[in-house]
Amino acid sequence: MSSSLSHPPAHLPPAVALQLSQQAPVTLRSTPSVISSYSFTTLWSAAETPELWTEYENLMLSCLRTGDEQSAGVCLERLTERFGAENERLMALRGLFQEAIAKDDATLKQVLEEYETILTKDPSNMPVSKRRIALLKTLGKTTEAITALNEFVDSSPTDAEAWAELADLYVTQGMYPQAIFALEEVLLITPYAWNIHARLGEVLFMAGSSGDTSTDKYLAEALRRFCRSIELCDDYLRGYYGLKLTTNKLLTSLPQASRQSKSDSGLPIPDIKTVERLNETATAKLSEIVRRSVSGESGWEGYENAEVIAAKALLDSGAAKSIR
Amino acid sequence: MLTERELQINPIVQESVLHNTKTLTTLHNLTASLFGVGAGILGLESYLGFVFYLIFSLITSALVYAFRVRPGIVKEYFRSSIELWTGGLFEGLSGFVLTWTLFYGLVRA
Amino acid sequence: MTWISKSVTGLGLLLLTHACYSAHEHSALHSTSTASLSSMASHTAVASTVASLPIDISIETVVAVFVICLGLVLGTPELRPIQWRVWAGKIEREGEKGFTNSDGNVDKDYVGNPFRMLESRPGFIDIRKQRKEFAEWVREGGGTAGASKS
Repeated sequence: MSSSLSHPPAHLPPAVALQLSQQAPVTLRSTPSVISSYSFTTLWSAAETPELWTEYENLMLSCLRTGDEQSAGVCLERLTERFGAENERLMALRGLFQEAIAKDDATLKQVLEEYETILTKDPSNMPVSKRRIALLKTLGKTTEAITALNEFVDSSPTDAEAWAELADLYVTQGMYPQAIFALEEVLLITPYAWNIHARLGEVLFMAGSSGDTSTDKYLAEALRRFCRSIELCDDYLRGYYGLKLTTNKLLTSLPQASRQSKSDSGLPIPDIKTVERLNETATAKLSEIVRRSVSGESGWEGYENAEVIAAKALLDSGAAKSIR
Repeated sequence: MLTERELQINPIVQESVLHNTKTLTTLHNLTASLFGVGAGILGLESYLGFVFYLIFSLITSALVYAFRVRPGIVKEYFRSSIELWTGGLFEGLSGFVLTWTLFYGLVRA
Repeated sequence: MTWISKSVTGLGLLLLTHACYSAHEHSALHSTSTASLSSMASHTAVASTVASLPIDISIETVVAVFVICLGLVLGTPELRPIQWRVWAGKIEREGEKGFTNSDGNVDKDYVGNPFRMLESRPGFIDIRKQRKEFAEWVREGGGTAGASKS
């Protein structure tokens, strides 16, 4: 159980979050509230570990998510006792707490103003400026959030998290070229992040299927990104899924487009044989993953259910088409 | 040896390398003192003792190979097979000599 | 796995203790029996007593050392793949189960996919949306389903 507490809980399914927050009172009682430095009691009480405070933070997030504000308040209190109210991260956490318990938009705006006063005093406070951007997004002011985020990445261009957030915001606005640029920045910072490669492939795929200009170029680029994500990670369901989608689409569009693409600059579009073979590989691999995961073979339990179901649906639709 | 380009394409996970080396070193440190006990009880002297240590260290590595590394794919867990066979050999030597002399003295006293 | 390793190591330690005690008794007995001849005891005689450890004790020692060694090897944590794609594939394929230690707990330093936070982004968490989603999940009866499952 404590293993899931030591990681940020944002991606956990609701059932796990509920379980965590239901156990919060017990966890809070069993962990020491105050770690006093340099006294005899430290000899007997549990040692202070860095993980303890991460656990508090994550527990607080889980509790806020499930609406257990009391336990979240206790977590926040203990963190404040330890690190002081002036800690940058704690300022952001306190703001988060206030955001969560706010009743209406007016209260949220107050929180936003608070963030702004903090930021005028200390513009380099990164956690709070991130919170401010997140709150702008919550309030529905996406364009403002994008502007703020652009300023943020200007001042700290090595923050991969901010670049990824920026990419997501651009995607919600349908500005795919900008999103692709932002994701490429993320990949410059973390070149081996296989999920970001897959994400970039997905965005390229979306760009390729929405716009009518240079569709093939986007699709070919998406194909390369998915291939790289698979190269970095064996049996990557998401990568194979994207690869199958992209090759399906390329196979329908390539025959007409092959003549005019020669004048294109940049990397050439792969020839149709390669695409066909990639499609076959992806189909074989996807069906293997689905088969093994559904039958619950040991060593294949890590996939998420929804992803496996989606892959199965894709395979079935492909099979139906080929029968027809 | 891997070239820069190959490393870019197929990177190495540094944490796993650390984990594996640590596991192997801990094991060799533990077993080295154990071999010292054995050598002391047997009353081995001079070169014989070191040969004893060498043989048993190799046996330990072989056991690791058989039980932990699935045979045939050393490259999956170590950068080279030399790392598996000689890793921790010299770190354990001092521990070996320590317990060797101690138990030699205890048993023969 | 862990109880096998522990019992094998324990057995080996027992054997080794016995061998050690036997060797000690043997040398003690031998020195007293040769004490009567001590007037003529020379260096070579002492050396010969040392070398002549009974064969059964020698075998017991070697076997004990081997058995403990086996137990210790069985008790070591699983090695981890160092090639990026194999390692990443293991994380995706097996999830937490691939990184449990011998007691069945997840390893302390297991982080899962280290790049997952680039997609969940704890710094930009939208807590109100999460609360809303959670409330919906509860309303749809997810709470009872989750409780009955766990």
